[in-house]
Amino acid sequence: MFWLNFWGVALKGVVFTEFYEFVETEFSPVFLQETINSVPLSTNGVYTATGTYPCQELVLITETIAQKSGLAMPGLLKAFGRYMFKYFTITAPEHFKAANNSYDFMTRVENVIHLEVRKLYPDAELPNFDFIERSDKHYVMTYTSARQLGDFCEGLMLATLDYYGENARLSRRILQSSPMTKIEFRVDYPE
Amino acid sequence: MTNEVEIYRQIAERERNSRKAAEALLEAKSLEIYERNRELANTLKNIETLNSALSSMMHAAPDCIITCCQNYKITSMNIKTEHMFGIQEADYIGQSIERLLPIQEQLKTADNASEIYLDNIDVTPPHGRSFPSQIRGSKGMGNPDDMNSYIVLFVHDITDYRKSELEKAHLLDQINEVRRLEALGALTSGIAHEINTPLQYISDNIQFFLGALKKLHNSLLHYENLRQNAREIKDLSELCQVISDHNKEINLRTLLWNIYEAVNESNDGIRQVKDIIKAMREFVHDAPDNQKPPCCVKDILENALRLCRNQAKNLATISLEIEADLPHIPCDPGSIQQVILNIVINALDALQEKPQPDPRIHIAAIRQDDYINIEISDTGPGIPHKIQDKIFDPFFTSKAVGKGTGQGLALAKDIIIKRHMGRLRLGNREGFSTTFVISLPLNPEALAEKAERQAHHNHLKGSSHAA
Repeated sequence: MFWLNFWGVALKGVVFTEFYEFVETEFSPVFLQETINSVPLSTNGVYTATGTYPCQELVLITETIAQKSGLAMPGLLKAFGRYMFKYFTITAPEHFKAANNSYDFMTRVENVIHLEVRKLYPDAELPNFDFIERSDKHYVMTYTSARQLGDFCEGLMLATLDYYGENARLSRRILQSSPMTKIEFRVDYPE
Repeated sequence: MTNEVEIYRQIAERERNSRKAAEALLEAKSLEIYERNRELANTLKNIETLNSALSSMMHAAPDCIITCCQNYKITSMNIKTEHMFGIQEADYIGQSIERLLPIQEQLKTADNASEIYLDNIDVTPPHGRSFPSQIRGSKGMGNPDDMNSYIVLFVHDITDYRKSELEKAHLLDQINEVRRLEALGALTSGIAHEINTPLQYISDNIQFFLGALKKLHNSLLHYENLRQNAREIKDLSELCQVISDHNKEINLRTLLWNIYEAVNESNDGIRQVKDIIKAMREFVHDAPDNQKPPCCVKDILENALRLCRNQAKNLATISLEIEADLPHIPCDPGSIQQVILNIVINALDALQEKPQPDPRIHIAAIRQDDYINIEISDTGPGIPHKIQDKIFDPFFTSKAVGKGTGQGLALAKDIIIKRHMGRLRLGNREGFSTTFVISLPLNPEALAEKAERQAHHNHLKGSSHAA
């Protein structure tokens, strides 16, 4: 369940190494190295999957890549969310199999996975998912976090909808930006 | 091109550094795991030590200890439980607690995390003796199916406690009986004193009546003589005839004799009452230890029998055999009389409880060397062999509660041995089932001196051996 600590103050190294792979795949290894060279990092951009590193470094690298590539941050994080989702399906398939649809999976993240993460990392600052509405046609949930990673979350949710083969429309509405980020996600199924 | 080579060199350098960082992390993690393992091993060792101590305590415990899970299935028991219930732990693991203790319903109604206290629970083990018990324990919290959520029960056998409680109650009854008798003794003494005073002037008056009656009789004889002579005189013959007719009518001679007999009988009766009062006063009067006047054994025995004559009526024939010319013995007659009375009453009680075909009590007083032996024998049911060595113990009684205090023979032993330097033992007399022998020394002072000399001699002998 380590991957969920992604939202915490410290970030597991696997997020950094997966992000590197994402950048190398989407851009090139040279582009990645040039980006690392241009960002002042306490770690010199050296990460291992099992280590733990400051979240701020990932934010700095992402911002630099956005600048260098001319891509917008939200799109970049959303794309990384989709990329990261594949990693999760490979490393923790039991959680995906335990749910039948995206709603079940998202509630499972909040009610089962986050609980287990808290057992392992009592200080982890995890995002909060609240489930507001649900019908055959839609469901509404909110994402609340100390980190501004709503785009990354959206990427993960889009990948989740794809995973369960749900032809749905995901829309978001920012409810609050500071000090906590609170975003409402709405999933609508077509008639 | 050169720039790109440099970039790849940097990538290689970063990858190398990542590998080294991963290796360092791995090493640190390995060390951490090693340390954790060591801590875990120590914790495990501590747990094993604790477990061993707990197990030792459980098995050395004087009470039965049974644990069960919240669904009342037995999970463990100690050796004492196996012994008390005559079972093997392995046969009862997983079985309902109800199979050993009839308390499942009480356990169900007890609140979680509460203490359990059940008193006077009769336990009937599958094998072994039944016993009353006091059960204490605690009911844990948790899932009813969780084997780690224990109910711990301590089963204490209270057989001895109950027995001692009964003995205590019995003892209390006996003490109350002794107090009652003590009060009765004090009352008797007072009554005897109060009766004695009017009895004295009744006795004096009767003596006076007897003397006066004799004098009146003499006067009557003179008058009769006068009447005999006067009836020949013509003028007096008619008057004499009237007197003669009157005497005949009231049967004067018989009347006088009956008056005399009645007064005489009253005199005897009063004497008897006085004797009984005297005996009672002597009975309740404790002479100081240093005041033991020479007393007549015959008087002591007769006084004692006088007090129980009425009780013996219709129960047993009492015979007395006193050797001629028995010397007087220095003693407290009241307390010796008390001992004799006690033994005789015991014999009468036994005869009343278990009537015998030839109920007899025989009391003999004979001299044997420097002692006077008083032997009291009866034809009652006898004293069972197994309690013969207990009958002189304080509070020992074979009688029902309220009937005997268990003090009589213990007091008798105290009076005879401690206060008179005598002996009290069971003896034998042909034709009788029980014989008590009281031996009273003729010269207790000489006996005391002799004992002192012997003690001194023994002490010196001991000292010389030690030297």
